[in-house]
Amino acid sequence: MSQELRHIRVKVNGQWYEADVEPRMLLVDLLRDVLGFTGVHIGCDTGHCGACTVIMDGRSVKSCMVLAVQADGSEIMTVEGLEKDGQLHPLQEAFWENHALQCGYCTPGQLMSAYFLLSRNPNPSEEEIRKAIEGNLCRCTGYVNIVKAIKAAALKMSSSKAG
Amino acid sequence: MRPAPFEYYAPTSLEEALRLLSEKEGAKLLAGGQSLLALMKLRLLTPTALIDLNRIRELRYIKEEDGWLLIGAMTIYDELEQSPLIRERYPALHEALYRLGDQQVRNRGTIGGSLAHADPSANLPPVMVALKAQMVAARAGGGRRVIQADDFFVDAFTTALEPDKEALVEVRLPPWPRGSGGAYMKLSKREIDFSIVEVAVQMTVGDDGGVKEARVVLGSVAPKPYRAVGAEEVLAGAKVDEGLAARAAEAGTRDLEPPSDVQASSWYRKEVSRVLVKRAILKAYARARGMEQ
Ligand SMILES: Cc1cc2nc3c(=O)[nH]c(=O)nc-3n(C[C@H](O)[C@H](O)[C@H](O)COP(=O)(O)OP(=O)(O)OC[C@H]3O[C@@H](n4cnc5c(N)ncnc54)[C@H](O)[C@@H]3O)c2cc1C
Ligand code: FES
Ligand code: FES
Repeated sequence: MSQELRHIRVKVNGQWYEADVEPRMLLVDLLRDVLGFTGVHIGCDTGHCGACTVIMDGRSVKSCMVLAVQADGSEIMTVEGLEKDGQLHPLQEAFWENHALQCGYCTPGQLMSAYFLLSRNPNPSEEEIRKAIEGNLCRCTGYVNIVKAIKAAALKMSSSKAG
Repeated sequence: MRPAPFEYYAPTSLEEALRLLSEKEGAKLLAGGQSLLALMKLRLLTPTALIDLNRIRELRYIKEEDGWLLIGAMTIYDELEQSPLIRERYPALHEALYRLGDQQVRNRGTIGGSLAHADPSANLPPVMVALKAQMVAARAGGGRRVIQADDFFVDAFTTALEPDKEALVEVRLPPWPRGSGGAYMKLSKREIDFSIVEVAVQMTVGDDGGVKEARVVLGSVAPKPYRAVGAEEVLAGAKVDEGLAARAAEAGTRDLEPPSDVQASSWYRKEVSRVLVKRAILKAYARARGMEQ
């Protein structure tokens, strides 16, 4: 069966892009292979590891479980969108300071899940943090430092807002 | 892993989606995609066309009508899980949503997709049966019918919806009277895994502390949600304490013949069923009496 290409527009990290894609193309492949956002990782390709997590219209989703055509007209944020003008995001700084990564493979997904959590719960409990990253597997660090880092970022972000 | 090629439609009205469904042979509806896309990537399913329901706004709502709670089929789990109304009035449903998959799955997966998929280990089907929910099915041309949850689940991955014709468009939760409460419990290896055993209980308790009505429903132990009628009979009219809950659990799980698989043996599932039914009964009873949140 020949595949008709579909013309789509997506806004990634604040900038609009256009592409012609097969309906079966996954969002993760659009982001990585067509648009070059290789910070979005593929760990399992089956929806289980969370390495491919991005923010789509304000919500964290696994980009290997969404079709690129479904993102037509959507706003996407990838890990590349966290840093602004050479300044790391408080979450990135907190991951660094708390040794929340070893190989770094899961990190972009962890950051996106943490970003979604803090976007609607600026002061999460430890239980809420653990719940928020249950879809993100880390095979190196363990979760203790990741949880610590998210807590530290939350504190930093709320104190910088208050101050 | 890529799905096999398919045609893609993204209708913006329900009527258009239903028309496409009836016209396109081999087409499938796409809801949250959290099961369907996985199956397509594995090439276990190769639909000729996908009819994406995500742009149909009229299918996404939570509203009250005459005491009933009406939920559009395309409402995502997260919205339901965050709803104070559901948390208050249908605690079993709230708990089942809280324990469903992970945040990314809850941000994408839909109540309609989950129920239509009818996975024997899914969280929501037993809850729907316990709550006496109604499913509204629609077909092209405006035809609608209401299916009771008890009749909706027919077999593993099989519902009463007519294939290639009907879509699930709404889930209706009846009002439960004052003095009602519910609970949902699930055992799984990791938090994001499907259940090994799960149970949903809903009951109404009179002012004298006697059970007026009780529904006890298990998942993951049979091809479709399993009404533990034996437990419901022991509960009828009774005042619940530890001993009575244990007797009800024993009666409700005596005839179970759960499957064995890589997750758990049949014996283990049956044993855990008995334990979870007892705990869920005690919790639902305490909630119905206003003793616990
Ligand atoms: C990592 C992971 C963990 C998960 N854990 C759990 C869990 O713990 N518990 C659990 O219950 N589920 C779990 N799931 C599955 C999840 O709940 C799915 O969202 C659900 O099974 C399907 O809903 P969907 O909206 O994604 O539907 P889709 O995957 O889009 O569709 C599923 C099926 O239903 C059909 N369909 C969809 N909508 C309709 C409709 N309105 N009318 C008729 N047919 C329709 C589709 O054609 C398809 O055949 C998990 C999934 C993942 C990826
Ligand atoms: S690559 Fe998407 S969840 Fe693992
Ligand atoms: S840091 Fe290696 S997988 Fe998480």
